[in-house]
Amino acid sequence: MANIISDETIEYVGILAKLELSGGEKEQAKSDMGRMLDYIDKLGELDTTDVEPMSHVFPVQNVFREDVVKNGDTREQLLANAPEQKDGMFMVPRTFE
Amino acid sequence: MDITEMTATELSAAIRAGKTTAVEAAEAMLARIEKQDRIYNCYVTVDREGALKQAEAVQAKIESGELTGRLAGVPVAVKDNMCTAGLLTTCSSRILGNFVPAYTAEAVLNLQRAGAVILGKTNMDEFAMGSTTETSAYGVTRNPWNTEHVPGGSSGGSAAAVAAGECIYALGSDTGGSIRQPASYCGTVGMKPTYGTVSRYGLIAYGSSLDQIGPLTKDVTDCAAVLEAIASHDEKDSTSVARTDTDFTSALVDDVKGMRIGIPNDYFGDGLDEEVKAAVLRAAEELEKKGAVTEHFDLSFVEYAIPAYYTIAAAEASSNLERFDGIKYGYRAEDYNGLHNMYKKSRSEGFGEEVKRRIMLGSFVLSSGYYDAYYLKALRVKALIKKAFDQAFAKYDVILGPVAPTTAPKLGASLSDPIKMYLGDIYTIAVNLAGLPGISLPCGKDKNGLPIGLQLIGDCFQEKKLIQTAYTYEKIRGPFRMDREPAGAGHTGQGETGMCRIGQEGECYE
Repeated sequence: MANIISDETIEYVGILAKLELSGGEKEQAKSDMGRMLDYIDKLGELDTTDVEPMSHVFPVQNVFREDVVKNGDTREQLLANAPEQKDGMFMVPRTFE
Repeated sequence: MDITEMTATELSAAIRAGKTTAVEAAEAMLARIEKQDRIYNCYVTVDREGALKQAEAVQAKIESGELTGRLAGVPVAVKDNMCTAGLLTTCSSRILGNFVPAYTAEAVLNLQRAGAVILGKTNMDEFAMGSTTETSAYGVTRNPWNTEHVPGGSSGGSAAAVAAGECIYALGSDTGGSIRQPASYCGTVGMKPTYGTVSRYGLIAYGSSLDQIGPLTKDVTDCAAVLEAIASHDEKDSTSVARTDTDFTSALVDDVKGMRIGIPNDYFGDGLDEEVKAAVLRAAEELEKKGAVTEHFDLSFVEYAIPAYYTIAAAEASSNLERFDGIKYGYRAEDYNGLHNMYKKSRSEGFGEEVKRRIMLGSFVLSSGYYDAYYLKALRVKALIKKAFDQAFAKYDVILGPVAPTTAPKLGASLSDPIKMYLGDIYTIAVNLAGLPGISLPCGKDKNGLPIGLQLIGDCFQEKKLIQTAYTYEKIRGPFRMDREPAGAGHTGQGETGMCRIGQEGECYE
């Protein structure tokens, strides 16, 4: 395997991905990601020096519209999905000590 | 007259003629689901009450002459990654196990405007990440042709529901083949439209630059009719394209004289099953006999589509799935220590293995130091792939090939090796990278009786050429339906292993 993923890398990616992996999951993730990157490295066979990265197939422009409310009031339905709510607001764990 | 075996076009005509009603149709489908879905598990949620209520309302509108189209009164199943107001929408994930949307996806609204009756939500790979519908948090779906095999994925529940007669047609979504491949494995028609044709508003995003909603149907006529209904310009989706050529049923013409069909040599190389190869090439010969001009050519870059796709799709997924944080909706961990730990624990407990694998990979390829080498590199390769298709479509109207290298694999055979599973997408994935339309339709069966799929790929906005070619081929081929015991015989699966099935609760059913 050409790509060796270190413990530090997995820790760092876990922070970016906001995932908490168990010991076993970390080992699995290291091996899976290494194998995937080995596979993706195949792209290196292609010379793309003068090729522009293509994010969209068609030319996309900003789409503007008037800032007018068109949907109805769905506050109750939206709040009903919240794991915790209080006084019409989403409840989150204490953020500042 | 068995309603469950009808196409949408047949059923809506029967309802208009007063031979049956939308309510009878909904009841027939619900009875069928009740009878056999514990075997196949096509549905995550069946909306019995809602379906009957919709059917009554639609029937009244048909009788008053307000609804007259091909989909009026016809029961449909919707993949569980499209939001439906008031109806559970899980994406087959634990993290959305209790999510009830406040609004309905635009494509689904378009169907409702046409008089569709929504039966429920179909099973899928979690967040559409997978090729077998085995990564669902709500159990695997079984292939109605042979219940020991997968239905494909990620729209496996939708494809299986159509094949099993548990809906007349279904909606799926296709990010790398997720409509076409399950359609192929389940012997149904499936189409991924040109990017931007169907609004993605209300479709829970996986790879936003690749995702498109499309139909899974029993035949090409229904496919055109459904696509015609769901295609629309929507200002709520900034990538939605204003098209004026969405009268797709006008392309249901039995004629391919002069149609230039390119057959890419790269789609018939190593790894392609001999029976699949033979069936697909036979279909090309049949089209040639009807006047199409076929030619073999080299498409190039085919083997680079999968690594480019997984880089781009994982990157977009890692960004799209950041919204699942245990605050506004979905699962929140029971025990945690502060805000950040709550995010991490909720996500780690709520997401399944394949989803976490792709979020990790996506976060890595977007991280500083690797962004250019992986993510931008993949976008450059995407440009090369698009160019290769542009060159091909300068010469051909349609590209013809297989949908997948094999017929449906056995349950449990794919998940052990992710890369091997990804390789199964080799013929479908480039279509999404290039934003092209593609259709899958049955072209034969292998020695085990499993369906083989034919794929036709068109240039952007050329769905009509695909529909015309597919329709002509379908006429040559003749009807393609699963052999079924007459309704009520109490036997649903096929083959000698079709008698005893283990349900989700571990019980054994007849």
